[in-house]
Formats: sequence, C-alpha cells, structure tokens
Amino acid sequence: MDLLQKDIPILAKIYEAKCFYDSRNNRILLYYKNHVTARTLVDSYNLPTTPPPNSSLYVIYDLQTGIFNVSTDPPTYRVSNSKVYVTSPINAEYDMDKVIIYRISSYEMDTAIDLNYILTQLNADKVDGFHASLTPAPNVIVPLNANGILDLSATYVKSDVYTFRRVDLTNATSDYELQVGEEAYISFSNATSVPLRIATQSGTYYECHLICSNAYDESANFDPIFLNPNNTQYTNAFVYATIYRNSIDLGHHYSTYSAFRCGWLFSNCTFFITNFTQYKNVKGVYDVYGSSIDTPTIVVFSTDWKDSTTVWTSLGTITFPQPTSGYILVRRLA
Amino acid sequence: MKVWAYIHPQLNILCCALLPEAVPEGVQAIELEVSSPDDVILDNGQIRVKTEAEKLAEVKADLIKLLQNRATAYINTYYPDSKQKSDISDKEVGETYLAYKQINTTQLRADIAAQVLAYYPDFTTALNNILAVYGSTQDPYINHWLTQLMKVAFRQYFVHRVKQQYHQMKQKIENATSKKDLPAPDSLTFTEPWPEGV
Repeated sequence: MDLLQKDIPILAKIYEAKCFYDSRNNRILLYYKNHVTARTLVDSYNLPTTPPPNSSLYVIYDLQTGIFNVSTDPPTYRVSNSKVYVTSPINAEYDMDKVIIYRISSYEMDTAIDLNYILTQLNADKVDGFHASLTPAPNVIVPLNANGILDLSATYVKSDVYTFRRVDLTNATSDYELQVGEEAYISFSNATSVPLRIATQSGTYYECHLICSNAYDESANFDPIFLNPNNTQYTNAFVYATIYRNSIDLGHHYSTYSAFRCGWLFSNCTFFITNFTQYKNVKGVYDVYGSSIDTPTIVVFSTDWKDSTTVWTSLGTITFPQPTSGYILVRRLA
Repeated sequence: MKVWAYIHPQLNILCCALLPEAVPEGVQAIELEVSSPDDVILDNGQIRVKTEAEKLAEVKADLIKLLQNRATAYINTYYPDSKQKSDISDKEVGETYLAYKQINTTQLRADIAAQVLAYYPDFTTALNNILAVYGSTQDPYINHWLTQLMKVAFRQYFVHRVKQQYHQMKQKIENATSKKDLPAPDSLTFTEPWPEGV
C-alpha cells in the first residue's frame, strides 16, 4: 500500500504524519493530521506479536512500497545528501522524503502524539500518482517557488518572464505580438512574398530561422532574399556587408539595398533582428543552393537600416527571388 | 505581385508597401502590378514601373559585375597580387643583370614573346629554346634570370588569356537583346589552365 495513494493533501509535512499503537487490535496505525482537520487513517500494520508493555515502538515506513518495519529497538541510521541510510534493524537506503522513521513512546499508545518525536522529515507529497520534490527528476512535481516562479535550478531552466510556447502564424491576417521566449512558426509553399504577421516595437530582439525546402535547381534566379520591415521596401535605405565562400571565390562586398538582405537564391538562414528605432539591424549567416557555383556557399552578413527615426512596428514580409517553399521560425529574445 | 508605391512623407524616398495596410495613414499610394518591388522607380518625381529595356540593362550590369568578380577571383587563385608585384620587380632586376652581361634585352624580350606564343602552355620547351640561344655554362646567374624571365612571361600570358575569355563573355552579355539571350550566371566561369612548371 502506498501512503501517497491515499487522500493526503499535497505537500503534507512529516510532522503531519503520526503513528499510533492500537493495543486492542495489536497493530500500528499511520495517520495524517493537519492543523485544521481531524486525523485520517493512511495505513496500518498488524503486529505479529504483542510488544512488551511500557516500551517504545520504532516504526520505519517506506512511503513508496507501503512496507512497515516495527521493532522495539531504536533504529540506527544516518542522513547524508538527502538520503537516509538505515543499518539496524534492517539494512535499507531511502530518499529522505520517501521514509518515515517514528518512535511511539509507551505513554503515547492510543493517546495523543507529541510532535517532537518525529525523527526524520519528509513530504507526504504524492498527487495523481506523482511525487513532489524541490529536486527536479523524472515524474516529480516541482513546486513554484515563493515568488511564483517555476525554478528548476541553475543547472536546468529558470523561468520568470520567458514564455515557452509556439504559435502558428501561417495564414495569420493580422500582426501578433510575440512574448519574450515565444516562438512563431510560419510555413509557406511556392511563395514569393511571405508576411510574418509579427508586431514589433523598439527595444525588441529576435532570432529567426528561414528554412527553404526547394529541390536543387540550377536555373534559380540570382537575386537576394529580403526582409522588408513594416512590409515595405524603402529605396536604397539599407547597407549590406558580407564575407562569403563559394566554389570559386572567398569574397566580400558592401552593397546598398532597399530592404534587409538575409539570403540569396535558395537559402537556409539564421539571423538576429535588432529593433531600436535609433538602430535597426539584421545579422547572421546563411548558406546558398540553386547554382552549381554557389552550392554550397556560406555567407556571413550584417545589414543596417540607415535610418534612426522610422519606427519599426511590423517585423515585415520576406520576399523571395522565385517561388519558394519552407518554413520560418521567429523567437523573441528580448 | 501587387505593390503600393508612395513617397515617404518624412524620409522623402520612394517606398513600396507589400501589403495595402502598410501604407501610412493619410499617404497617397499608387497600386502597381510588378514582378518585383525593385521594378518600381522614381523618375523625375514620378513613380513608374521600369521598362523592359531598363530591366535588361540592370541584369546586364549585374552579370558583368559578377563576371568581373569571377575573373579577378580566378586569376588570384593561381597568380596572387603579391606574386604579380614580385614578378615586376624580378623582371627589372633580371633584365638589368643580363644587360650588364652584354645580352641584348630588347632582342631577348622579342625572343621570349615568340617562344610563349609558339609553345604556351609548354614551358619546358620554350625555356630550353631560350637557354640554347642565351644560356651560359660559365655564369649560372644568367641561366637563373633567363628562367625567371620566361616564368614571368608565361604567368602574364595566362592573365592575358583569362582576360580574353572575360571579354568574350562580356561581349555576349552586352549583345543580348532580351533576358533569354543572356548567358546563365553559372556559365560565367573560366577554364584557362595554369601552365605547368611556372
């Protein structure tokens, strides 16, 4: 029998679990008791023999298996690294929050229990079949901390303002404001123009992955892929710096465009978008395919919007030099 | 695709909205059907779509720029800029030494040119023919500088041949009367082999 399969409130403390000796039936009773309601019987154990009178009884109760070990001799145990190592009267090892070690004094038989006789602490913690613990582990419920934050410790993930969510903006008809951490997914097929439908504002920062899935095609148009901020092309307002390597050249150039250049021919692009009204930039890396000379090409680039007054309110539209298929992921980082 | 072209009231530049709602409030925009937003231009204060001739001229200019970059990259792959400069210096030093040794350098230049034209890319035969006329068994420096001068001549002739190929392709681009007559970008490559032994 599992204590935690009983109707025990979440995160009941060890001091709310109590053991009694029922002399009439010669058995140990394990109760839960909170400070408000009455005791609730959780488990019981029929003693094989009647214990000697006026002696203490020592109970070791395994919360995971529901197994009692009862003796008249005090148990020997030590606690280390959240573990309880019992060496007498049994040899056993428990997680600290998975065992009750309890002394029932002779004068407590069938009487009220003194809380000071709890020997170990634990959480009587199971809900819907899952344990709760401050230590993250498989099938363990981790509680929110005192600030209402799910804190999975520095070695895992800490969330306070980060939103773990993906929204599908394919075919969206109006702009959606991503929360920090939230990710947008936009798929497209044979498109030359894909509106992202993402609202933006000064002070935001995004990570974007543009993935083309077209088959290799040497007849592809030799033109760039652009991100048009505010779904608009601003004539010659952008400057683009790049270093690239293709099959014949390690080259570089510095060019003027009318939108943020972020790819070429068919590309798989990873870029970061900075939006301060006074400084607006897209920088990243992309590969190129769709030409025998340029397949593959690796390109590192940065492109600035030479404008410090225009407010960037809609992340914009991606335009392709030919019908292109694939998907776009945009995650807001700030 | 449809675009909505307008003059930005603050920036005073041509803008093309890709969505009708992207046109700023109160701004008069012209709806145009184009194959790319790049096809819209501002011409003497008037918004209009580029003519086919203008589009063709732009594509030609892009292809010629691509061709120039590839020609430069191709030459640099075999004959880097630093080596070209070093060869100019070597040629001057070598000819000075040979003149000091009473060799007629004007005649030598003509003979080297003749050997390059006759035997390129066979460097060994061309060099042996020059050494047979001007070589010395007494002064090894003469043979050294004759070899260096022949190498420089072969390297420079390689550049000349790549340039010839460049001009042929450029001519083909310039002569095109429609986009379909233009060479594919992937075809704009150079195949001139680097002569062995130089």
